[in-house]
Amino acid sequence: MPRPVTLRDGSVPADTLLVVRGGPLTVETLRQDCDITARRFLYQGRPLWGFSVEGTDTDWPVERILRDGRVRSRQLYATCSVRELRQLGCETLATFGVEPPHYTVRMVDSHMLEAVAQLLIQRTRANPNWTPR
Amino acid sequence: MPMLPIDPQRVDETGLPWAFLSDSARVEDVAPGRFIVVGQPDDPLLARVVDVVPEGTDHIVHVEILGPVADAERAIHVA
Repeated sequence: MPRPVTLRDGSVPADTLLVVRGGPLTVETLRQDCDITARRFLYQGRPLWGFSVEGTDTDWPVERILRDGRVRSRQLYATCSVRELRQLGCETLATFGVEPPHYTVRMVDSHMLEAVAQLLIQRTRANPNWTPR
Repeated sequence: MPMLPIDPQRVDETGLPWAFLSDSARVEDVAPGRFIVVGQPDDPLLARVVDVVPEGTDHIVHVEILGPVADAERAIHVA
């Protein structure tokens, strides 16, 4: 039975840069993450269909997130701003922890997910902290 | 082949990555302290199971991500 998601206080600044794990970063892997999140958490009484990202702030610039954040083990990553996601109709929720700041990008439907995925796939680049095999 | 579809960025109140136990390919091998492979088939990660806690009709598995499987294989080979 899903339960309400834990939100942090305060709004999310539009210029917050979000770091999304890659390797792989596809519509299907994002959809899988959204489905799993929706099975566990509710937002405003409805299943929270969204995926997890890490966000920048003064203590956590992109470089530190790639080195010390949860994305550090991934081969690829992509970035986009909260403002860009808003332009696509997405809501960015400040959820759970702050080391580094965790956010859930809430999707409304598959069309929105595909638009976000296309944006992120175009931005995918190599994580400089990933060790080549 | 990963035993659990875990996104390392997907955490909960514990700050740890999590997954539903029922999504595991081998439920019997997922227990606290065990090392398991998680993530996606083309970029698997080695993880240690921290705990398995009941939630609703399922269980939540929390893990500590240790790094790419290839790194672990290389370390074992060197040893």
